[in-house]
Amino acid sequence: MSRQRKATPSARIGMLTYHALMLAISAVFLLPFYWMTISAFKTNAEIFSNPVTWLPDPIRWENMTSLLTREDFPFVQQFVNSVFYAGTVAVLVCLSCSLAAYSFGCLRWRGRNLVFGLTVCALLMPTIVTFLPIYLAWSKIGLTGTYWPLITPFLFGDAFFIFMLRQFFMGVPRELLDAARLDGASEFRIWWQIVMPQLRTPLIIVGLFATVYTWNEFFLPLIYLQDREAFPLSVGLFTFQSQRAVEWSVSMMGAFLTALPMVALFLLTQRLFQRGLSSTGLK
Amino acid sequence: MPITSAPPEAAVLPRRNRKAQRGEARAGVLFALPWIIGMTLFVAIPLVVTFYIAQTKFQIIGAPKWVGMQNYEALWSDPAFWKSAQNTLIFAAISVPVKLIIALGLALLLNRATALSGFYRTVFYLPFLMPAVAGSVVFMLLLTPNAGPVNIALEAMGLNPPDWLLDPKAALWTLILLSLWPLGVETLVFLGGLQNIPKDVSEAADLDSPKRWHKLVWITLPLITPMVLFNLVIGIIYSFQVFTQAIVIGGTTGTPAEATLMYMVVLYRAAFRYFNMGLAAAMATVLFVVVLILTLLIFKTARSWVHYEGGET
Amino acid sequence: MGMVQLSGVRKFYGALEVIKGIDLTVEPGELVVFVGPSGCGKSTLLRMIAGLEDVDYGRVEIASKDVTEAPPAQRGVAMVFQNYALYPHMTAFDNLAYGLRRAGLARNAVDKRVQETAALLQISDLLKRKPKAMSGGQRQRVAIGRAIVRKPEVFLFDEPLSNLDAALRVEMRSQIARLHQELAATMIFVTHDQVEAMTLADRIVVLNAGRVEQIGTPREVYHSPANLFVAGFIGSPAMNLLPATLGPSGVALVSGPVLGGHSGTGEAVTLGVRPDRLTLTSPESAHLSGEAKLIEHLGDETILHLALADGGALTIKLAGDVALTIGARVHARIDMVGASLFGADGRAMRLEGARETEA
Repeated sequence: MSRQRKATPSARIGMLTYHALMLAISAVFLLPFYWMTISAFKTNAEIFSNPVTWLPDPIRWENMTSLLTREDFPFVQQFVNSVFYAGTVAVLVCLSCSLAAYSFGCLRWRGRNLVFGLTVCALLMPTIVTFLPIYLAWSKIGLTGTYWPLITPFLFGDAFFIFMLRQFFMGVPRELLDAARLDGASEFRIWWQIVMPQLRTPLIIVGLFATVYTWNEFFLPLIYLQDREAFPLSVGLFTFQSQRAVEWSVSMMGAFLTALPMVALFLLTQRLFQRGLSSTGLK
Repeated sequence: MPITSAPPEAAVLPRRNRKAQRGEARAGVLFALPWIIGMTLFVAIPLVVTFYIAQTKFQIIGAPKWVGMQNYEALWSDPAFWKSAQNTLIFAAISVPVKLIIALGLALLLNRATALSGFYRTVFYLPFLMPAVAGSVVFMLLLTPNAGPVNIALEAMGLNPPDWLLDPKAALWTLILLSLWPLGVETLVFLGGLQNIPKDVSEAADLDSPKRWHKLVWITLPLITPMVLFNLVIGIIYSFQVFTQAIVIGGTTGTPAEATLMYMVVLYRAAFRYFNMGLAAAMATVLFVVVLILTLLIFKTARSWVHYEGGET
Repeated sequence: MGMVQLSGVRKFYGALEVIKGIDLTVEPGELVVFVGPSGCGKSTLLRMIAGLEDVDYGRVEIASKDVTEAPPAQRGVAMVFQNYALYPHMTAFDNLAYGLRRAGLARNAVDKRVQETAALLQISDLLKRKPKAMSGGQRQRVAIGRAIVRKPEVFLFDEPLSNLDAALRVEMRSQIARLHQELAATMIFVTHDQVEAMTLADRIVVLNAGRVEQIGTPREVYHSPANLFVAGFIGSPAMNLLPATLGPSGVALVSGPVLGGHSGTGEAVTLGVRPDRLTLTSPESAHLSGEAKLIEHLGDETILHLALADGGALTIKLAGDVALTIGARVHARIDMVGASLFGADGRAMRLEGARETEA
């Protein structure tokens, strides 16, 4: 900043006002995170102390150990469940959605626009409208209570991620596919050897998005899963909170440790995330 | 220039096989096939079946029994249905536009390069990463009457704060307020639109008029209307389905006094607490029709207010 | 080296006919340039030869084999694309080798062929690089290498030079001309740039709206355009097209002067005169007079744009730097040697006493 040309006084004041405003807004946005984090390391009494204490003193690390050993909140097991659930879905999404997205974005065929139009409709369709029959079918097969109903649909693809990936596939120049055709590559080989290697970054972006969405998914696991041991963290935290509403410090520690992996993942891959976002908007 | 009749030689020369495009077309269908199957299995068929179940009495166990419009009649006279529909409509009608306006404001504020831009972007985006359950629990703590930090602070300033989520009059409005927190996605979609405005267009606008609001109203806003449409449609569809926050905060009864009772919660309750699949399906079909009509209306009016470059997609 | 033969080739996009029946033979070792305004179908036609677009009616033969329905890789063609279309995630070596590997060549053979080609194009030191790390000219050479390495019957070029800057374009142009001689290869080259067409081609095919307007050597299409379209399209600045009639004593301009030559019975014709076939003269001996509206001083030549009294326009190209100012009255004389005459149907008519004395 100091090496810049000397700003006029009015521009200086403008800049200061801007940053003051933005920092104030940022504080509002960050407050819940901050409060969650410090409450996770306080006792219940300390959480509700008046006047407000802005730093836990002492830091109650025992909240963490107590959370990890509680029988009514099998946090470790649920964490593993969440990792499995989000990870599997992310991998499946990358594979299945890239097939359809390639077809919509790079290949010309009759009916393509119709099928893609239907995909957009599927994307806009409220989940619940199609949910009950699917639930009844799974329950008939006897697979409720397992992760099959939660994961299987992603073997086929997902409207949102297909839509998102298609934007990237559309960026692959047609000439490249033509060059590969002249070189004698089969359509499958073109997808796998020519197109996919160029879309590594978009695929990682989509995988990250799928991870976050699945990690935070609440409705489907709430309905399909019955065992505390089988819950992912979102449902586990909900169940614990609704049964032990007064144990705020444990709830906060749970919320903190549920949110932490996603925040960490985001901070590590920030650049990619933002690229993915600008592509979800309509071109 | 459409050709109405093929020239005479066409009758003599045989039409050739379409080879090149056929290979590509075959591949196109093959690559899309898993998804076509998926859409059929998980969207098309269930959609039809939902409409069927909605006209049956079905308790999961046993076979569905045809009852015609009975479920819809039951809904019509169910106060919980009306209360939740009202709550959801108010929620959507306030939350979506307010959220879009704030997100747009933030995007405009973010759309300049300063040393802290990256930091601000990250901060606005973080709430999206917070699992809705965790976020709701944290807000319940923050807004605890009397002992919560927000009320302590407000009381210290000499104000008389409401009981927020425990006050039947304030609870729905508090829920709306909380829904504004995760607006990072909307903001970044707007920001993407703003940054896609070519630099020369922006500079031309600066040359045409020195007033900043001229540029905002006549140049910037029209150019990001596609993003407004996107955010609006997605926002409305999702706000009609608000569930997680509502059930974490208000349980299945919408405490306090059904103030936070949302449509999806009543539907969930009907299906998975009372196992009345017919009624739940009827509710789902009503939601479907309402969302469909709204979406069509938005897209219909979109022609007159959304600017499209080139007109693709 | 292969011959390319198109007979009755037509293509539709839905109901729209974009290629309207083309017959064309490209002789072995010939370099033919397709030229025409954008949207004339020249690229589509090239892609049909390559097998990237279907031929709806008609036949495509390459090296005397009917390949109308053969897949692109089995036609013995190689193509250089406008945007290079190099595989961005592969090194230059792999870009060159990809097609050979797909054809099932052994590892050693692939290696040898790639090295030979690289040496020919002087890109041996680029082989380990990826396209991102190359300049535009280097990418272009690799793209050409990828075509050469497969030893095709026919090379197809789809506006390959249009993305290069002017200096590089000239250099690449001469390199392609050199390759054409060294490889004695059949080449088809698509461009909208007529300088490229004139300098490279053995023969030029002028296309317009899906039809062939003229096929001929560069000199033929320049000096005896078959019709008004070719006359207006080839040559820069464009040929002057003046309304005239065929009188008993020869061609007469609408404005009065009789130029002689072809005689007739008063039918309306169009006289085509290249800008360099006009000379400045005194008012008495002038065929045409007008006011200078724009003067382009290009150093070694001067281009005058005149507004004629009857509302028409006239372009004159003069050698050297001519001292004239805007608004000056200019008198010009037409040199009928090298002029063209077009009938009411737009087709060229033979102009007596013109062609024989051509330089």
